[in-house]
Parts: sequence; structure tokens; C-alpha cells
Amino acid sequence: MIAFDEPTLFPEALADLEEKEALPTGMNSEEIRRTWPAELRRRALFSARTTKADLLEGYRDQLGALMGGDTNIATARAKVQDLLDSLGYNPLTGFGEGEGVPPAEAGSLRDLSSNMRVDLVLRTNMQQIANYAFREAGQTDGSRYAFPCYELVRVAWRAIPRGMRKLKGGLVPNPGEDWPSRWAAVGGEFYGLGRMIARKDSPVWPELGSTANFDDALDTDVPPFAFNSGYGIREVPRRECIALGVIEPNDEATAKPLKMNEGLSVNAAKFDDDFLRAVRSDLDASIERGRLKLK
Amino acid sequence: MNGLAISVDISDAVSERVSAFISGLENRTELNARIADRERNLIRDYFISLENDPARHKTATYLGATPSGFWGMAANNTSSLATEDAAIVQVNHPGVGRSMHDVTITPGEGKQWLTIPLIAAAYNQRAYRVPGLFVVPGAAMPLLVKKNEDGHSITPWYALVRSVTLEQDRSLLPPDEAFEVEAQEGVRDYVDLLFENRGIA
Repeated sequence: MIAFDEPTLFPEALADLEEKEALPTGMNSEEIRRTWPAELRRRALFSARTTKADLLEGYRDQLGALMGGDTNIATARAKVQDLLDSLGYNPLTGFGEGEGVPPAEAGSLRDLSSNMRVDLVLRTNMQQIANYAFREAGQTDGSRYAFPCYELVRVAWRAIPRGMRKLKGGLVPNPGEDWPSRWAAVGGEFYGLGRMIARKDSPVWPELGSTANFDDALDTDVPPFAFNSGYGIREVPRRECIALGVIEPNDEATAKPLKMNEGLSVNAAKFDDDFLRAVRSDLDASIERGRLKLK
Repeated sequence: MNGLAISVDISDAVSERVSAFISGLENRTELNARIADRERNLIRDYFISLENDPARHKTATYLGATPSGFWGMAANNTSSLATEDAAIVQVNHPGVGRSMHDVTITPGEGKQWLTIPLIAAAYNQRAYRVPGLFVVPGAAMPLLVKKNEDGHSITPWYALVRSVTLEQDRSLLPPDEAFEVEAQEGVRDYVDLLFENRGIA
């Protein structure tokens, strides 16, 4: 039986958002990347050339509303733009004298009030916070055992995906720039029909998001790995990982050894092996029946 | 909070032996965590497939606009929760409730109209942020229009309506059977963990 109700909150993600320190700065993206360590960037709420703490707090409010399901991207963007108006922002004059915001072409990415800019800040932060929470939730012993790997997949639709360009007659690839090329470049292996899967503790994840490898990367080990990326991760079940050859049946889930919690040990001791094998066999049969029913 | 909280009880979908096994557990939090993770991933993967289904971007495609990423954001906002008593998946995203019932959208506080985009530039925007719009009576409903650069002709940007009712669409979530299968997979993951605890494959 499936029961539906109202949701409460997304605790890990909202906690991460609340803990982020607002860091106003007049620096551009390149200067921030060069001078701020990656860990500081991960723990901070910031945007290039954004010198007003009030604006960052406005972003925080809208990110909280988006993650709570209380608003949508169009309304959140409009509220940030309203706030910029109230702070006296103008693309040509910034916030006024001495604020260190250079003039920008209206509507461009450098215009703090453009749709493109506000969307990029909202979407990038939202995805990073949600994926950080998703990654943390997947680090429990049970989760690392049941889902030992991530798969790199397209999560957000794009009319022209990264690494493709539009020509008469359709999209054509720009070799070396798409995600499969990046995956191969950082040592990722392909399974099945080109699936990009690696253990949760594989070095390919931080390498994919490293500016040492890709100019548009965000120096992160959770998606989005690059500016305006539509790619994300999904968890892959243990048996599927074994069937595809990503891990061996006896592989540890990660380099970090599994610690069985007390509840698990008590329950493990309660049942004999034959009974547990019979339970597993019953489950396999009913899972198979359920799958057939779905056809 | 807008969205859905989903909990699954599989007691009527498993054998007596599996049922006896679950009843005999001292503490079910880890079992529920395994079930909740399976269900979360089922829903998350389903939303990702909706996001990548061109048929789900009909309005944006028709207008020639960029899709808003609605279902990708729903996938991001899907999380799981386990307690001793329950395995719960939460989807904090507006509009997902439509999978369970009709949804009637009315204007927010202090507003009289909803805006329906008629051109690509109007899609995924709040009308009050678009300069130069004004209301004209339309044949069927009032329209928000803007003067073109020639200063004479106009382009309709939005139709104004009092409310919109979206009919229930159960296909916005996976079918019930898929929830049951994944719940059983979660129990199986838990049994595998018990074997792992004993060092038996």
C-alpha cells in the first residue's frame, strides 16, 4: 500500500543552505577561483562582482523557498530582481560609487539583474546544495553497500547539449567537449552501452569538477561539475554494478570499511542462515513477478 | 512546503515468511532506510526520465522557448527519510501533487489574474517584470500586449485568466507496482546486509 501526504522538509539540504556564509565580493569568477580555496567556495554563498550582503541573503531566501517547493524559478528570479531594484542596482552604474561593480551590458551574464545571471546563480546553488545532500545521504554504511556506485547522467534537458553545435540538418558533436569525452579524459570507464559509472569513492568525481582539467569546472566533487551543466548523478544498485562488471561481488563498498551498526548485528544474530536464504529466495521470486506485472 | 510525502507499506505484497522476518526484527530503522533509498531513487530516476522526454516540454517547444527544467528540479528536491516505523520519500516541488488529484491554480494574494504565455519571450517570466505591457480586451479573454518597435502594431504576450485547473495525471509518478517492487528490493538489500554482517555472500 502506498500512502501520500504533505512533505515536511529536506533537512540535509536546508541545513547546508543555512550554514553557508554569505561572502560579498567585488572579484570576478577567475579571481575568486584563484584566491579562494575550493572548500571555502563550497561553504560560502557568493557570486562574482556581488558586493551586497543583502543580495546574497535574498538569494538564500529564494533558494530556501525553491528547495522547500514553495516557489518556482520564474518567481524566485523576479524576487531577486525586485531586490536588486530596491538596492538601486543598474547594469551601467552598478550599486553606485565605490561598490566595485563594473558596468555591464544589460541582459548579459555580467548584468547582475539579467534573467540569465539570476537563473545561473539560483540553479547552480540549488543543484550543488541538493547534490551535496544527496551525496551525504549516500555515505551511510547501508547506502554504500546497497548503492556502491554513481552513474553520470543528463538530469536537465538542453536544446543544445554541451559538446554539440547546431548546424543545418541537426546537432553535430564537437569532439572532446561533451561529457563522455570528459569522462574518458579523467580516467572514467564505460559499461554496457556507454554508461558512465564509477564507485562512489572514485577519483573521477572530483576530477570531473576540477579546473585543473576543465576551464569551465566549478572545483567540486558533486554536480553540477561545470557552469550551466545539465549533467548529474544517480545511484546504481549493487547487483547491477556487479552484473555490469563495475565492482566484484566481494568488493568493499568503498575504501572506507563498512561498520555494522548495533541494530544490524542484533538482527543478523536473530535469524539462522537457512531462514535468511529462504527469505531472500521469496523476495527474488516476488520481485520477478512484480517486474513481469509491469510489462 | 509544497509537494508530496510518500510512504510504502508492503505487508500485503510479500510472502508469509518475509512478513514473519520483518515482524521479527528488533529495530527496523536500517530496513526502512534501505526501502526509502530504493523508493527515492525510483522517483528520482523517474523525474529524470520525464525531464528528458521531449513530450514533456510541449509548451516550451511550441513557443520556441527554453524549457524551465521543472522535472530536473523535482529530481533534485527528492529525498528519503527512515525511522523505526516508516520509510518515507519526500518530493518538495510545486505541481507534483497533481499526480494525486486535480490542481486548480488561482492568482496569489492581491492578484486578480493568472498569465498564460503566448510567445517564447513570455515563457517562464513574471509579467510584472516585463516593461511596457498593457491590457487590451481579447476575443475570449483579456490580453497583456506590448507595442512593437514600429510604435503602431502590438504583440500579445500573455492571456489573462482567473484560474487554471490541471487534471490529475497519475503518470507523473511511477506506477504502484513499481513502488512495491522497489520496496521488496529494499528488504532484499537489507537481507544482503545481514549476510554481509556474517561474512557470508
